[in-house]
Amino acid sequence: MSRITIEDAQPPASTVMWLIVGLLPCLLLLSVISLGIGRYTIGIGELGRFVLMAISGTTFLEAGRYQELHNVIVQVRLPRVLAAMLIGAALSVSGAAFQALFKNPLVSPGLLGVLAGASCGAALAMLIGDSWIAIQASAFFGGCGAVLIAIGIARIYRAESLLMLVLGGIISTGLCTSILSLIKMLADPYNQLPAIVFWLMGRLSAVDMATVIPLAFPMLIGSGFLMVTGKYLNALSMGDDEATTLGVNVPLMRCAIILSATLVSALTVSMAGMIAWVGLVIPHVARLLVGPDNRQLLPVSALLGGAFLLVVDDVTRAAFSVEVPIGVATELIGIPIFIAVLRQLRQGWLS
Amino acid sequence: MSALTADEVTFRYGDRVILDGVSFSVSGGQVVSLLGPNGSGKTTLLKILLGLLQPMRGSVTIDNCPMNDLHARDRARKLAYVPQAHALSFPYRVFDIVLLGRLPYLSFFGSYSREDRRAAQDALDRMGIPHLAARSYAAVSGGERQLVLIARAIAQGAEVLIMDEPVSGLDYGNQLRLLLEVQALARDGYTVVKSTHFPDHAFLSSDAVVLLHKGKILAQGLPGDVITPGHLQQLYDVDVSIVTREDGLLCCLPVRSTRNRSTPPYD
Repeated sequence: MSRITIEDAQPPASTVMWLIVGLLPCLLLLSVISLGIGRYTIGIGELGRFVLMAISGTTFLEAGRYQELHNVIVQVRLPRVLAAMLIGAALSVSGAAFQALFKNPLVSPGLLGVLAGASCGAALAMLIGDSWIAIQASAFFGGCGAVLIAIGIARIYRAESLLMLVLGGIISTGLCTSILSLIKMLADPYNQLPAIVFWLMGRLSAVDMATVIPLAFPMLIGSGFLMVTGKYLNALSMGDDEATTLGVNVPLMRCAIILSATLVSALTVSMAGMIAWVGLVIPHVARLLVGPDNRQLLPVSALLGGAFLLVVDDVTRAAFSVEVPIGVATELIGIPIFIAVLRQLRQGWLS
Repeated sequence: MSALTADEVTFRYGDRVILDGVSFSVSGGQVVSLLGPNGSGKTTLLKILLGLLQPMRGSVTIDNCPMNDLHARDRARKLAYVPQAHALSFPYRVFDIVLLGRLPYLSFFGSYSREDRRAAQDALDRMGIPHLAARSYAAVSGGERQLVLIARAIAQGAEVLIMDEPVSGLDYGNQLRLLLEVQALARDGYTVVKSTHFPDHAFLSSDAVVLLHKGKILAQGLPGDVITPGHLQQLYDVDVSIVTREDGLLCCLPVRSTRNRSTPPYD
């Protein structure tokens, strides 16, 4: 009697490996193309010669032209492209991790208040001064602070339950939002208020190399950690009791995952302000491609999220005469995608 | 084969005593049914056996080793939890759910090896559901889900299975089939502790019965000795007679009594 085993059949894990291996060069190609897109359009041929010249040192362009391109590409566009990929990946990975952790596909990385807290922190720094570093630091600590408040509220009632955490998140989000409103009211309406409002819409244009490089490391480490926890997320999404009896230290693992997701999400706000919907929508798209297994879902979410934000940023730079804030664009583009994906997902939830 | 012992286990929520000095033991290859009305402490006892709750007093030992001395991962290799068939938020593949049974064998950065996948596949074969491997857990029936969760426990390599009302929510045929599976597992050397609401099922598939009443053990022993009309009256406040079938199998039948009845008897 012949029987079909999972090993005889094409193992899905390797299909996913191919998808990841295939997505990587796509993302690389996309990022090179993105370097050419913008108000100052650079042809693909010239771009190719520039890249070759930058790598090999051989002269393909005249020195003046090279310097000109160097300014546009390396000073302006490269940090922006890197930031878009990092932020897209970080938000998508933390969104996917939160969805599994909270056993709820409608959860986004902002559930415990990290995005609201970071916005509040950034706005506060803008109110006090206009030091770029201070704004970034304040955004980061605001985000972490809001999540700690949420955890603290859950702890007051000594409940390890997810429900108390979610309620804590609602409270800390509400608190941060009301403080943010207060800051807006106190802000100087001619300079500070517009700056705060634009920050809340998200913007990649202000990102420079000096910001991207140092923030990239904690973001990559945090996202990498979340990807490693994929197998534990599978267990955690079965419920606390089952995860515990499968040998998982549930409080420790949950805490580590929440802190990593908070770290990377807060850093995205530090880098480019509020960028909505990516963390909710991209995991759903990734789940359609590779299924719900978090071991594969998280890496694929990261790659898709990076690519998504890169493309959205290209569209905002190239398609309109006025640059649309990236946070608004992700919302406008993310919502129809989410509606389309929901149709497919209903089957999985209901059956 | 593994033995599990609970010794003088006591548990309270605040002032409310949930379990009061509960002691019993199961030896390898035995099926023990835990019977008791709602709120008698069955679920709490199962959670303490699994190490999910710490007793205020008393201890649980597995193969003469105190449960508290075991690291969570070592515990998971000895003792597995079979929850009631549930609905999950995400439509995982059946195979991936069974593969989770290998999680206690993985290091933090490790990933499932060929042996782990083989063990999961063997567990699916053992439960007779290899054809479900690639199906979505969301798309299989309640009876099949329960088998999947048992397969996960087997993949775990644990010799003691703790089952929380394994037949609840299953149709009549699947209930009986599941009881046969439980018996077959015991024949293979697995030790099973299960909670149940059906005294009949205890007659069908148990080597021993523990009756739990208001946090205390009312009686324990062989099903035929322990499940008596008197005990069932005490536990559930209903009148039941025990009938013996010609092949010796016992079963419970409700007595038509006129006690507390406002409507006239049917006959």
